[in-house]
Amino acid sequence: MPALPIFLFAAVSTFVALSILVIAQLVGPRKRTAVKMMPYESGMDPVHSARQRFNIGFYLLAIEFLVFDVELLFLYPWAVAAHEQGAFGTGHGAFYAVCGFLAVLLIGFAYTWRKGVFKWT
Amino acid sequence: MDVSVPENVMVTKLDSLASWCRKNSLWPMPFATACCGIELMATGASKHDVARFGAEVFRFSPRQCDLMIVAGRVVMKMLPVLQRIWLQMPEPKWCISMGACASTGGVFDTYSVVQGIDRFIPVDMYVPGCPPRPEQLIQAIIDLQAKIQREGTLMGKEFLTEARQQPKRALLDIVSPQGSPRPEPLPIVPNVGV
Repeated sequence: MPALPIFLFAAVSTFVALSILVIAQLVGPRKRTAVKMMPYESGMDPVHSARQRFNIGFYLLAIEFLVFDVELLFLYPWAVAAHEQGAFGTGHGAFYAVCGFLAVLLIGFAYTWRKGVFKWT
Repeated sequence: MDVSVPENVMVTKLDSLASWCRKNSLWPMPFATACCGIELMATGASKHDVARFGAEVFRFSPRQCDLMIVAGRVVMKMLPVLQRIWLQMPEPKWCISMGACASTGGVFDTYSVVQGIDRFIPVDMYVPGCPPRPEQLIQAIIDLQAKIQREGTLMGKEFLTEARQQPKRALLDIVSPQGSPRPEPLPIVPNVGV
């Protein structure tokens, strides 16, 4: 069986990693104190809880950014491929295909705009 | 009864093995407040390469550290921070007081600068110098490793005692020109803030 060394390697490394965790859990001294349990703020007093609530607008803006980010990510390889195929010369097939892709994203964008994502009040 | 052991077999105690593991994986907490911090960085960098002694993993959270290196002067206002970070480090832990300022206040002989951090947290090794060369810090780490090898058990229960947390002066009193004794160490009062 030619793949046996790989399985042996995986088994040994899993065993070593697990045994390190288990030994540390069994042997390591641990003591929980109030100072250790408090959030680490470089030794200063924490001013408020770290579980802070944010405006929903930040989340929506991040989603909108993601739409354009992914769009650009796809457009770059598309542009290279379309250029190599000469799609701008005859047929325009690649061009219409990407127009459909952009239209889908644009519909979503228009929908969120209509819903008032950019109105922060 | 004679028992023959091959040359490549080592016999040791579990306590020694645990200490050997501890001394070769010292993760420093860099409490660098002044120019000693530059030498501390040089110690971690490629030329002096403290990774040879297993102490290259500088962690910026006390939760992951074994070794506090106080590099530089500590002012009175910074002292609660130092003590809190010391208390936040998990046991077992050790402390190196790096440089003249951390050890004795150095040239900053003034009311606002701590005249030796060993009055406020326990110190295992003192490094002289202003600032010390990286070789001196490495020597302190080697000496600390020897100290760790001498002490400690497998389960490490002795590290959890309250006495290990509290300052205990190890540095001999330096004779001041006036002949005044250094003040006694003060116990750490845990402060969890508001």
